[in-house]
Amino acid sequence: MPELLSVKNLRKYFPVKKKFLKAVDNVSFSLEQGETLGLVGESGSGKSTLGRSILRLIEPDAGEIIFDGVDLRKLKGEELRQKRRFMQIIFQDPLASLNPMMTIGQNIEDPLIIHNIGTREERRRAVEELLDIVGLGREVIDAFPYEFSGGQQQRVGIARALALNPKFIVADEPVSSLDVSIQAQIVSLLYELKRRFKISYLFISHDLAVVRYLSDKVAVMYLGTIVEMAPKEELYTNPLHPYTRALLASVPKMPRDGERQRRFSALKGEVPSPIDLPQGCRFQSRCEYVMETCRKQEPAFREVSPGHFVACHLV
Amino acid sequence: MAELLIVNNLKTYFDRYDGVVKAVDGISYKVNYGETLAIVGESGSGKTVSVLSLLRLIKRNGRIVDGEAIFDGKDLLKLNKEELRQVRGKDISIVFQDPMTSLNPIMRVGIQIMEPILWHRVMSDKEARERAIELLRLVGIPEYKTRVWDYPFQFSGGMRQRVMIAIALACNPKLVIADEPTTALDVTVRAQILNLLSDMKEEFKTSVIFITHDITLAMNFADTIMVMYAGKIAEYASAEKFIRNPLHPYSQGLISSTLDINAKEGTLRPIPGNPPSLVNPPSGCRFHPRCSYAQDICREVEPEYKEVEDGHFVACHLVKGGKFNA
Amino acid sequence: MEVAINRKVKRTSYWSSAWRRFKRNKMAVAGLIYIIIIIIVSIFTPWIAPYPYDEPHYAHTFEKPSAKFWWGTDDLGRDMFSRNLYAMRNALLVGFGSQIVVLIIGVIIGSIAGYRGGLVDTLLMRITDIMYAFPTFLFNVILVTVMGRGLFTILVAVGLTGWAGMARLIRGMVMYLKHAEFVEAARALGAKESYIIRKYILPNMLGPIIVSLAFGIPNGIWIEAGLALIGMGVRPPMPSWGNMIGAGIGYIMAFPHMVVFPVLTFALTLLAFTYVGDGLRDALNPRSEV
Repeated sequence: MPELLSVKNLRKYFPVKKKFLKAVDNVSFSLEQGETLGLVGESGSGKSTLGRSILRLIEPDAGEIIFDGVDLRKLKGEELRQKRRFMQIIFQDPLASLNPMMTIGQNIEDPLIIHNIGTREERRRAVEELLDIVGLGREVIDAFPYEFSGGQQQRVGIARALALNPKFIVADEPVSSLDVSIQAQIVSLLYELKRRFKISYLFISHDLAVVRYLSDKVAVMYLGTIVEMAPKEELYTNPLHPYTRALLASVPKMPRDGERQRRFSALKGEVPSPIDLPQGCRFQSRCEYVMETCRKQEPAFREVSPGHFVACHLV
Repeated sequence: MAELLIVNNLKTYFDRYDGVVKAVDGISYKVNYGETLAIVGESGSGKTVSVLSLLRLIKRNGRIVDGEAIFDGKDLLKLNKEELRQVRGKDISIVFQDPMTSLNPIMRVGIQIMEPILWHRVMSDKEARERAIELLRLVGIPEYKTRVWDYPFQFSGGMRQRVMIAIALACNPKLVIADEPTTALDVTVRAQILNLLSDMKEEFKTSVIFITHDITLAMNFADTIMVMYAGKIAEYASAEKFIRNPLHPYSQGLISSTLDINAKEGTLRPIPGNPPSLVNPPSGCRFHPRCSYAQDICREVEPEYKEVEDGHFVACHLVKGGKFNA
Repeated sequence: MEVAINRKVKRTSYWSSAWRRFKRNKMAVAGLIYIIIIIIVSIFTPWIAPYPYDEPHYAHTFEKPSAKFWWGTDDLGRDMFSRNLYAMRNALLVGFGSQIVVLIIGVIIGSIAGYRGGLVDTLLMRITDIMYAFPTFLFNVILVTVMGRGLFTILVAVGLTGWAGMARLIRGMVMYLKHAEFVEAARALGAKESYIIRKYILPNMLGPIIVSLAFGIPNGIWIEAGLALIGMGVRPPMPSWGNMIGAGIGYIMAFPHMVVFPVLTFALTLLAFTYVGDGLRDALNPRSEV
């Protein structure tokens, strides 16, 4: 499959007093058309900033974003706006992402109006079709977002994102704020859409289980860099980076054959501040295998087996 | 007597402009000494209200319409203000969900831990101070001797939650209520806090009511599981029985719609539909609009909450003799 | 796979649910009814008033309320009821008119400051701070002295002295909305900034703006009456609550009707606007519902 997106050495630093918060620090990855990359990380990992930087909702400081053959960073004004048709975003808080003064129908229709697509009739039909695709009835068209539940609002958000037929969607923790049973519905929906429309997702989440379900490839972020990236099955069955292993171990698993977990394997300490990063590997303060080299030199992000990249001195 | 808390037919309603919200509509359960009960439910299930009602910490437009809650021989719902104040923080304490907003930002952490001790006059000032330092050590705060004089903003999320736990344990309560204590925390920190809760439970020999929306966590962590839906109890059983044989369709639905990290692709079966209105709940069984096994009787008659096998309670018409008959 | 909603969907917009909340506030509704009545009366005052406001009846000075002069007469035998009607009309003109001025200036300054940020914002906000700090009434007196004592100039003066609060409010909202998630969503869709301002930012500012205007009206009425009281208001014989009360105070023991009626209508009017303002503030804020 042709390569859709190639991110090279992306950087975004936020100035904080005299220092820098290195939110995204030299991140590179690529994505093929139809492929979904799951981006996992805890707070401070920079995953949200990365997602928004790729779309230039936040302006990156350095790096290349080659989307469909064009470097997005070199586009200006109208050209960028035109390109936006093909890359969309779904937000974590569905209510906050919809214009409260516009009806559901108007919210979904807006992308078509913005890009001057279709007549009023055609747009109306498109809205109805989109509602169908996301599993909402047509009676919601004239209602307002706040009247609905989180799950329904998120479906509206998804419908709006699909309106322009994008090739790439950044899904920024789209189910984190939803109830468990609704999460499952939305995840199912996203899965269906992926299969049906061959959309590429950058699926950002802290939930390893959801990521496993939807992704083809998974990248783990810690304090602004990707520490490990591999095809899904490989990452979950053969995690190499100590942080990845710790993440996987700290998630409660469905008890099998009465095997319950009263205690959970826990990483010591907490995520340090991304402002004052230590020299060397960012993970040193919490790593149980830390060595001298780790404190001196930042490990390089290398391919250790086909498609499996790690940044760790131990590997 | 092994039972620390017995709740009978608790009903808590809220008055809203468009009607009466029946947040908790007749639930009964018990907690034994040393037991961890997990109350599992989604938003609107009534899980938080059901427990906060015990200490009458519900919003002003709420009223406890019926029921009793026998704790240590006394009915909590019939205590007057002063008696209730004696219970709060001393016999029953709460660990809240959001550590960012639950601590007093302008009060030193040590003082906040000392407060319940001093209010309930359990020990002298000096002893209270030593106890606060000791509690900080127990909950795993590094450099506890100096950090006891720090303010909440100087702590991270996980640390603040530890402080909350220290406050909850200050007077050696018999029952600790943990309201989604790990939901607002990072994944790796969650594991730490859960371990801490386990340890503290052992150390202080308290009972714990653990409110959560995470069924997987409940199945691993708790002794007993209580699943709530739309203000009623759907199922109640020991963890072992529940894991072996979840009977209520909602329980089964929760399990099959929870993404397990080891799940195979395509095994996700979401529960259809949306959580019901609590002002106008569905007729009959409240779960029937979303239940794939719903029959006519489910639409008309509310199922009885009964014991279907030893210690295993379910409210479902389709459960007979400890078996689910679709 | 998919899930349909099978419940009836009520059609409620932000405005209709706001109206529903407003209706629940009895005092606000009462205030609104009063205001609607006085607006209608004010529009038709030239036809409703039994007498012109400046027509003296030297044979009937200082008369108590009677069938001929419903609210009595003043020191020149002019009909108090008619004069009250015109005073009310003037007060409403200044009240509403001044807020139009406030809105225009406040919107311009507030939105530029909020949207641009940086140096422009700092500069505009310092100017706003200075305006805020100025003793309003004194400033009004100065402006009226300079511009003249007409109804229109008074209205403009009140507006010129009262825009600071509105500017601050609008600036705050613009700054907040600029970063709101649904605005970010619009940018992600490829919308131009002008489109975003028009369809995403402005409509979401209406609520607080309306409330601010609602409270600004009684403020304007207050100032107008105050100016008239000290002799800086509209020129007599044009009546104002301020000059009527001022003239009548001296006779309060002997002829209370000269003071009581204007005071009552003045107070009721202010009260009505205040209740309506309160009601609007609660109604337009969806989160105020328990």
